[in-house]
Amino acid sequence: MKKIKNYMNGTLNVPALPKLERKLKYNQMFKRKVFICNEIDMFMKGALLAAEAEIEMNLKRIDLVAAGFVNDYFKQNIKKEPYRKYLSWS
Amino acid sequence: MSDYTDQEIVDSLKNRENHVVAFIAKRFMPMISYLIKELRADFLEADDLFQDALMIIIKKIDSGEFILTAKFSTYLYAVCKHLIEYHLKRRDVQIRYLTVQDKEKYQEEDFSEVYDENLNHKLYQYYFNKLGMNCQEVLKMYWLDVPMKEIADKLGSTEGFIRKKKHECKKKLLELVLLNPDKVKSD
Repeated sequence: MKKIKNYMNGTLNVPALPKLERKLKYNQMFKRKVFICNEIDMFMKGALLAAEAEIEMNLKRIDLVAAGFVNDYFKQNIKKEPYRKYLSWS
Repeated sequence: MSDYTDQEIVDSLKNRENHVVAFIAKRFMPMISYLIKELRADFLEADDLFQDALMIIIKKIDSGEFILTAKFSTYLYAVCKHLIEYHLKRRDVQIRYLTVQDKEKYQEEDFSEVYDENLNHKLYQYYFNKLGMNCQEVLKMYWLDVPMKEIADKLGSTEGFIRKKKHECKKKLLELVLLNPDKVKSD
């Protein structure tokens, strides 16, 4: 870790550079792999759930029901605060 | 995290039980994020949209007008879709009042990030379709949170084999996405 820090701020001896460069490159590649792996999971999960919902929404005309819900919400000018406290999830 | 049926979700929301909100968020947030991307409403936050949609549904549950005739996720999806459309319309009206310079600045924002994201999403779907049918089936069920045991039963296999298969398929998909051998480009 110390070597990497020194490498990053430019105070490390030159002979150690290639090994550290490889290490840094490997770390970056590994991080990228983990990131993309998680992103694939989230994206594909979202896409599949959305596709399922889209089909059912059109079949059972939930679209119209939802439109009514949203219209009522804006008409009634609902105060959000009383609901907010029940809606934390992290 | 335990699983809830749709009716349990509705009952829990009626009784203001917080744990079910965490469950819904974990399970359906990817769907909301996907919807935001699909409708090109990147200026919206998935968390905020989720909260507003849930508030609308709770209000309807409280009033006794909410009857489940489809999956809970379908209601959530439909409400989110209408909310996004509402925000998009409002945004269009706002843009009409911007000056030319403001508009240019507006359109330049985070272009590269959006470009990368679109390309990545295109790659995921493209290479997923390139996988074998077995792989696609296993991964689809895995992403839809079907338990491993159930996947194994459906495909007439063992749980261990399915776990291994899922791992291999994901590895293959990741390799294809990173290498992009077909040189897929963004639109």
